Amino acid sequence: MTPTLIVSGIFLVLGAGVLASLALADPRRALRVPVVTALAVFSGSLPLALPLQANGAYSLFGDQLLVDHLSMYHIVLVNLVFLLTAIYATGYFRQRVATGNLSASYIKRYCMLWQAFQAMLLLVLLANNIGLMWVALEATTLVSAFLIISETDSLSLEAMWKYLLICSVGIVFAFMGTILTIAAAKNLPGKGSLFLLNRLQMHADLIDPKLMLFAFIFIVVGFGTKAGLSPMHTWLPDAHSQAPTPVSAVFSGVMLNCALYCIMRYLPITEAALGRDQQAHGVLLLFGILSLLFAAIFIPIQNDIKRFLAYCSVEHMGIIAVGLGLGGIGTFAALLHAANHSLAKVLSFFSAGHISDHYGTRDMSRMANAGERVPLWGKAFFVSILVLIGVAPFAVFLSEFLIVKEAFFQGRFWIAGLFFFCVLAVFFGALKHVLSVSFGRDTSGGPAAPRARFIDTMIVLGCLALLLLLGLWIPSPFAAFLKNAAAAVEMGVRP
Amino acid sequence: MKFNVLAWVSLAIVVANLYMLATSRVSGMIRGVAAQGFLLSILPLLLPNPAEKFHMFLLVFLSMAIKGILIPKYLYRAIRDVRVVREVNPVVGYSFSVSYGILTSAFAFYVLRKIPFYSVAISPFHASTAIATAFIGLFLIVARRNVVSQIIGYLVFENSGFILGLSIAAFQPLFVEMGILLDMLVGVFIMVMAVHHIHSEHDTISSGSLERLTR
Repeated sequence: MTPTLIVSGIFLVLGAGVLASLALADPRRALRVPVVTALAVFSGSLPLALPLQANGAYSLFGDQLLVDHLSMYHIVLVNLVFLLTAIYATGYFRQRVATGNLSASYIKRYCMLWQAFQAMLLLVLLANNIGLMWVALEATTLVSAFLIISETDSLSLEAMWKYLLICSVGIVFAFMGTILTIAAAKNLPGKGSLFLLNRLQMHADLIDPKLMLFAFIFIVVGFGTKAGLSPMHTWLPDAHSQAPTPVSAVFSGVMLNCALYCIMRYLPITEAALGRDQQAHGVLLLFGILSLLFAAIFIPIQNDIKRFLAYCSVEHMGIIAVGLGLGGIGTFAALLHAANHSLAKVLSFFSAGHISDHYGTRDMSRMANAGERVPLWGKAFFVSILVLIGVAPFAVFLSEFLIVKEAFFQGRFWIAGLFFFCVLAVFFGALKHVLSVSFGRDTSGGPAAPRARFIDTMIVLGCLALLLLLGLWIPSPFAAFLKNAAAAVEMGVRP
Repeated sequence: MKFNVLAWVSLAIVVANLYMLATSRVSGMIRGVAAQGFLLSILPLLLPNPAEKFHMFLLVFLSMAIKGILIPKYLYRAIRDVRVVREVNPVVGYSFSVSYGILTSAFAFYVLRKIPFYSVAISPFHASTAIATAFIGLFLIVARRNVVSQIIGYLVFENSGFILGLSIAAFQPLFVEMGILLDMLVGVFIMVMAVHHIHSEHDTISSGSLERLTR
């Protein structure tokens, strides 16, 4: 199987999935379609990594698409999160339809848009043409907007409107950045499209540095809007809190990462054009620290459980941006952090969804003793939040530690101090919430939730085992892969 | 000769901006954005050395159809369905809006020559028109409460990206411009669907009814 065939196969499978869910009338059966396609895409995409061992990076479809360690890493992450979430969604939506919280028509819309959403995210990750990358990222906004409104109640409409408008405006900024990049690269030698990442990287020293820095700022503001970097994050808490749980999980787990991925692609080009004077890194560092500050202020005062998780996403995007902004070991730590955050965040959204359904509210002050009352999910929520705030044996602790260490190593004590302060503020803010939800004294005396499905138990245990494993021991092939991905962020794609 | 035409077209685009700032009727704003769409779509014809004749004509045709006819028609239908006539109680008043428009346009045309991308733009008019239009688009999004007016603000902002793209990436094939046109069409389509939802839920399409999610 050649990579070209595999990639065409992936998009064909997802396209067929969209059509199949359009044709199926029964919502129970339609819900199985995304599981089947996600499984096929996940297992089918793994062989794409094989040629990487030999030649580092390879392009497909006449240089329009490209696979290297960085994109492969994100592709696996996207497919894994979509697979877990599609399985979870079967139980979650069935329960909601049964209790009358969700209309059957939403199920159909979900199944269709969901697979189109995954296809567009994969296209963002595979694109070598920066124009294509931009078009695909804009398309993710368009296909996912109607996933947010499950019932046309006013709050979810408001969230969707903000998401559509703010992300669309952001994406126009990214478009201007793309155009300015092309303008900066006007003097590249030879024929061929200026839109190709590997070509831009190869001749980066001929790119107009001043203009490229200008373009990079537009890129960070534009894609950063979609990635939830502060102060452009304002759509994020609304969309994450109002969307149905599986949608929030995917938004937070991988969509934000994909937007950051686009910035990671521009970073080495800008640095090379500027003669590696670290200015582009500085831009990322600024937005990263700002995001951390916003999160540190807003997390302790949240009451809504899903808004709390949404601000956690802002924090973690900030951590990743700071890691990337520092460079060196920081880049490695940022990439490691991305995977751990995705898994833990998906798990915490799953748990929060079940817990809030059980209590009939998202208000954390009205939840208590969830560990007992919602057997599986209450405990999963507790542990996943511990992972997210960086409790010791888990890998988030390791990546945060590496970032602080790198900041000290570079003599940037202010960055290290601010980073440490914000992470600590989030730690205590989040701990307060999670302790009251999981163990607080329960005065309402409501019934306990029924036992969770076997498959849900497996998802929780599998995720936790993976998170623990990554914290205790990073297998050497994985570490080597991650190092190569980090090198792609630092040095760019090798042509 | 071409230069003169370009100057007049740029001026007309800026006048369309000011008209949209000044009018309180939503249908007037739609007329303004349609006129701007038409003007934009002839811009590729005025490029000094077009990349490829075929692509250029395709782009002119497509943008005229989408920006000049399709989207405005669709918006007209939307305001007829939800029965909106004028912007009620805008965040910023009309005379102040117009003053803002004149000031930012002047800023774009006179001060912007100092910014580095002036050197790569094809003509001073292109880049300055783009920046002036961007100022107006963003302003309309925040200064109008009616969600249809906000969509128009987004369109104006997107138009500025279109002009910028034409002015400095003209030496490239225009595929990306077509991607944008498509995205824009779908984007407006989805936004108008959202408008219908908002209308059926609230019986109004003022974004003032969308201010409950804070913090």
